[in-house]
Amino acid sequence: MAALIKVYGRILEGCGLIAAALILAMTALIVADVVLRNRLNMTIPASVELTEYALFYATTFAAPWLLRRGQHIRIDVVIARVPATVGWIMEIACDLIGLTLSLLMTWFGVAMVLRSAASSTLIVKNLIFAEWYVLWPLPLMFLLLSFEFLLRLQRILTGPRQARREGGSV
Amino acid sequence: MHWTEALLLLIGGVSILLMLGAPVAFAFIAVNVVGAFLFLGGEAGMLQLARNMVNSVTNFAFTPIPMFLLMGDLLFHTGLAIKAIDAVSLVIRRVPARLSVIALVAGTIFSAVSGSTIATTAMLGALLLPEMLRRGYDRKLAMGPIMAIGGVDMLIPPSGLAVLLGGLSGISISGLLIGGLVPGLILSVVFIAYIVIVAWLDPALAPASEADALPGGMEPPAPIVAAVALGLGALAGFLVVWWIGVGVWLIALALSVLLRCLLKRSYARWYWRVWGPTLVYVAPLVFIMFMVIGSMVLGWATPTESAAVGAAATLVYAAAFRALTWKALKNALLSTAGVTGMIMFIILGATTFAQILAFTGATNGIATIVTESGFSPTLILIGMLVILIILGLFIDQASIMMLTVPLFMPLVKKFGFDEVWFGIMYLVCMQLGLLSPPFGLLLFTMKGVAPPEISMSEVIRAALPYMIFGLLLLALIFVVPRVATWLPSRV
Repeated sequence: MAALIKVYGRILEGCGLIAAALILAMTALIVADVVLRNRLNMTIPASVELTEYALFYATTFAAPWLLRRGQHIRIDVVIARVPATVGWIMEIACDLIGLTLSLLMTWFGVAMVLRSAASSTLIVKNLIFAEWYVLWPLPLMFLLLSFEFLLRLQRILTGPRQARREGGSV
Repeated sequence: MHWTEALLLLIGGVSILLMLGAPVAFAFIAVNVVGAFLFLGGEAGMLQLARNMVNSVTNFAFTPIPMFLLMGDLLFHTGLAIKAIDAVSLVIRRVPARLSVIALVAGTIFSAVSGSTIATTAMLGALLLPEMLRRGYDRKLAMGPIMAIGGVDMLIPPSGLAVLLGGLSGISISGLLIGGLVPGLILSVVFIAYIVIVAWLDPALAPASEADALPGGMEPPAPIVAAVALGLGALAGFLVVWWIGVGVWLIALALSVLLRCLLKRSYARWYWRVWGPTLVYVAPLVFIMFMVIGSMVLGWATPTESAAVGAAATLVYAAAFRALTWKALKNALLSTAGVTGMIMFIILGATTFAQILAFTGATNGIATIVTESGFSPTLILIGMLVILIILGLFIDQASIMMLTVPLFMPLVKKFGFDEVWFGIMYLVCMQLGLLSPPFGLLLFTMKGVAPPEISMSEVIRAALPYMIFGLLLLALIFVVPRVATWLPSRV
């Protein structure tokens, strides 16, 4: 079990790296488009579309990785000021809510992808391709978030009875 | 369900979950799921919610955010930001509270090449605060400018939060980015003036040090020729147009320096020793800054394109100084991916919130109540700004935008307010929120890098004067909208 959790941690680290690589790729693509347009009078017609998809993919890959690192923005006005045990209970409540929502969104995300694939819905812009190619990361993200919320619950239930010290900021 | 009950359920639900400590995105997803079941038709609503999540982030308007963040992250992780601060510190000499002024000048430069407020404050705080305290600077005078300039980062382009506001509200992103420049620079200049005056009136607040003297005890050459050039340039500015005047002044100044260096070699050594590092490390940053801001102002590039070119130029700059190691690049990209993920995941979770508010009739209901209230549009605008300032006391900027933009923008459109004007005032309110107790983000950032003996109340007191300046700027923009709209109107 411990080995499995370790492998899962590596997967999440990999997700972070994929998100980082996608941001680099977005930047390179836009720069290439600008240079080609101004120097060679050529364009990459799908550059706008591809960067939009890359931003979505980067977000979906980053989200579970950020949850593992405790970097999702949250407001700790109350949780940091209540007694430790109350903070601990609030953490458990938040994790349970997160788990429920993630499972629910995984379910409906999969339904969305399957319906799109079954109806052969296409995206017709500069690129023409099956819509589910864009949709699939959403349920995958929520599935990974579900696993992570489960692990968070396991960690907080077996750890000290206090709130976590985490919460990212913009 | 009447729209008031729906509004209470939605806003109340989000507020309770936020206070519970749930991640902001999940607080919104939770009420959206409830809203989808109650108002959007159950299963169909849930499928729509999932589809909205995909569409919300698949949006070209948001693509500058990671690239603006990448510019700053690259500078910080390659160590070039520190070299630039060292260079600035060589140039700024013999001013009262020199290190505080350096923090403000360096912070303004970084604001123009970085899209992250926290990173600017954390870096300047970690670098300059220990030295200021060691030299016996008053704690408030040491911490205040560093926090204040971090807030200005939100106004001076490139600004990730300005892009976020533009993307969510439909206000021109270029307009917001360009419009923030003048108010941001006004704040920077006012902060510097305040620091210098305070330290001049009471030198004990910022004791001068031998390290403030010129390197090697060298005295600067008397700037007679430069003064003549300045006069000529200013005259030309009055006679022709200001930008030709500035051009003439810069050329004349460069020629005078060259001439003096040719006449006496010691002058050349002095200039190189004091200004050389600035030329090497800061001038490229200024070039990148002009490339990013200038390309938008001149209409040569969209915000996304200018952001991408700015990020690429920063990469080239780092590579040229052999500072671009794989480790630095990886860390910069991971940092960018992290903050981008934080912001975009909130958008992904919260987008349907506005749709549900509109569907329940809450958006229209509020707009109707406000417009039929009999209050003047000016009073309503003041009310909106007050709400933003109050929310800024308690919650983060991205959440404030997700909560208020769907309700405020219909009113802005209804009353015909200039959207860029409103957007810039919105950003100033967000900037105030970063500094305002009890939960201003920059207060905590400063507390994080300050020595443990400095209490939170000291940090808050240090930020207070700069909050007042922020409020005065807000009043200035309110009374003189051209402060915010002049530059965008010239594009």
